[in-house]
Amino acid sequence: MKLLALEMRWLLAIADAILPSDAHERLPDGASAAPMAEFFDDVLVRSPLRPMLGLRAAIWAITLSPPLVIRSSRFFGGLSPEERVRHLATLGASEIYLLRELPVLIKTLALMGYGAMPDVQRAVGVEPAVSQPPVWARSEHAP
Amino acid sequence: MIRERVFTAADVSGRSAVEDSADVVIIGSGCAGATAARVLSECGLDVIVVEEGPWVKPAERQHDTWGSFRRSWRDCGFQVAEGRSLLPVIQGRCVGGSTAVNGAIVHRMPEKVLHHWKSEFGIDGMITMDALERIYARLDDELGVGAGPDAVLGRNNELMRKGCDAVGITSNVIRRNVRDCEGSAHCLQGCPNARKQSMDVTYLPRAVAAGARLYADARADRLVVERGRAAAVTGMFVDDENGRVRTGFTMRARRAVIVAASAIQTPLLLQASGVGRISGMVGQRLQMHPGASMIGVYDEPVGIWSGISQGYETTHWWDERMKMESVGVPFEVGAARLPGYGRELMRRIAGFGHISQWGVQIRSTALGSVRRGWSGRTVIKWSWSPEDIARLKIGLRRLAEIAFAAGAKAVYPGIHGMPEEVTGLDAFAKLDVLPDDPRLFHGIASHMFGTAIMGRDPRTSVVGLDARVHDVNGLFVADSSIYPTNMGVNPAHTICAVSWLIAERIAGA
Ligand SMILES: Cc1cc2nc3c(=O)[nH]c(=O)nc-3n(C[C@H](O)[C@H](O)[C@H](O)COP(=O)(O)OP(=O)(O)OC[C@H]3O[C@@H](n4cnc5c(N)ncnc54)[C@H](O)[C@@H]3O)c2cc1C
Ligand code: SF4
Repeated sequence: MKLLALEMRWLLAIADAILPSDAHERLPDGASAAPMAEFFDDVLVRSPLRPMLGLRAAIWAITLSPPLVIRSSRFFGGLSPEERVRHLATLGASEIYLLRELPVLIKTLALMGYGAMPDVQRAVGVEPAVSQPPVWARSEHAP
Repeated sequence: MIRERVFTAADVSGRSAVEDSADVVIIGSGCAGATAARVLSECGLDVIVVEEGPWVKPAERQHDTWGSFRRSWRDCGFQVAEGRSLLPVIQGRCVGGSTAVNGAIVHRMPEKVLHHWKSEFGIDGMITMDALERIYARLDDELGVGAGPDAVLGRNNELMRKGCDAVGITSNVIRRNVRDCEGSAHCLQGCPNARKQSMDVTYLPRAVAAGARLYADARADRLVVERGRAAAVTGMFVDDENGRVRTGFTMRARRAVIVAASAIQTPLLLQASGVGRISGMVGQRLQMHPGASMIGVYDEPVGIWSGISQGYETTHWWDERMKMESVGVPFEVGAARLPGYGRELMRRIAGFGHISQWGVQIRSTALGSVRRGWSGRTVIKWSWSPEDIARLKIGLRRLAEIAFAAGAKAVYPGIHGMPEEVTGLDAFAKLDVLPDDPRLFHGIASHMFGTAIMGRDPRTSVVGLDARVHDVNGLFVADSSIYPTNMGVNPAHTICAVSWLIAERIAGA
């Protein structure tokens, strides 16, 4: 499966809100500094359809639901960084099981990509950190 | 492995069809299939193994988890059981099966379980404690089974030992099938240095050296039955990288076909082939050992990324249907278990070097089912029973107690309805008032059983006491599908042992 360009932009915005840059002195780079689009592309191409439809549903639901979830007049893209996090945390604490699993799915996937980057591992102190970026993050790899 | 006798989709590309024949055709190359191949080929039988997944050599193993999921795991790690909650059901899908990505934990069949099988299900004859002990001794020797050395145990495991000692419960370093473990905590991505004695580096090369042929990227689709006898297996070579079908295959069996595709895929193959129907039990009675984890947070550095992935356990509460073990997962997987989003999550990620992770697995009482859905996907239906959840709550609380006893300043329970971060055991009183609802927890399961059970009576079981499918001559099931119940301990070693016994029978038949 492949996402529309718009959906990929939304997904990257969500990943960026989950893993922001400049949030901790040891981790200046968040998801936006990692090749997350390449990672998500590879996940989407390789994985079975059903969970990827789930991912797509999560992207749409998270992006469009701020008016319902945090009573904002804007969609996810128009929220401030703090509001984005509040929206994700509110969804993640929802009493409705499927709703609270939506940000969990994206968080789990985003970390799998972000956390595999050598710079991130070194910053966290992973010993030994991976020596080179994973296959999907190398320029010669096209999913 | 002798390259000339291992065939992949790339090797057969361009051929209109692949045909081969042998005394025995085995489907699946995990514990059950590889062990049967090793025994039968060394008894002088001509053996073919067909394996749906790719051949991932140790040097090709990816350090990152997604790299491993995309090549070596079933459905890239996305397989789930659908019930009141979604439960990931994880399996390997590569040469060596789940052993390529498992924790290498070794346990023997608990006598109480085997006794229960005998008294409740009439299982005796081939699978006895004496027979299993004889094979376990061989397996221990051939697969390098022993307790992990202290030098590479790692702090995640050491802290569990410290906590268990402080709480005053019995616990031990885990016995594993590993030689000269380097403590790289990469077991779940596949051991890069072939220290783990998984089937792809042990019994499959042995079988191939003894003359067996191994077909990788080869998905068996149908069992062909002629005049009441299993005669062949047909299927497709599918290119692992792009999912394209390369060519079809037919593997003819002169003596027997052994289905060893795991307790999830074996029933699908039997169902697709219309065999084992008399009882209506194919794909029914799915049982598991679901579990969940507890994270401890310490002032001291832990470095969960080094040491033995799963090196310490306690079976102290085994009679209460629970077992706890350390779970050293890679950073990029473990970090997803940390609570929060945004700045708060980043703070916790920065502190990842100070966490421990241990899990509790429950000997569940729930029964589920497996079938092929209309689109060809695997449909696993399974829900935790209320008793399971009650036990899970107790188990998670106990893990928190062990963590605090080991010096944790906080734990992350990962339970909806509880605070994200808890600094004392008192907070777990909250668990008592939470409903026994599986949707409050994030579970996972990797041990499956019971979807083609063994028994004397063809009306209530799929295979007989010799593991032969009741209604088809020469067709055997060798994996944990045939177990009438789950075991309460990690099953790989027993799956190898039982498959060995089945193979010995077939060789002598
Ligand atoms: C991450 C993980 C950690 C684990 N840790 C431990 C542990 O530490 N100790 C322990 O005892 N157990 C552990 N287990 C469980 C244990 O590995 C399995 O129970 C065991 O490997 C099952 O053996 P099997 O032969 O039945 O199936 P598998 O080992 O899963 O092998 C079945 C093989 O059959 C193939 N196959 C399926 N369908 C077809 C088809 N149609 N055609 C061709 N091939 C097919 C599959 O691709 C697979 O390679 C773990 C499992 C996982 C996933
Ligand atoms: S801990 Fe590392 S060296 Fe030891 S078996 Fe696992 S992957 Fe191999």
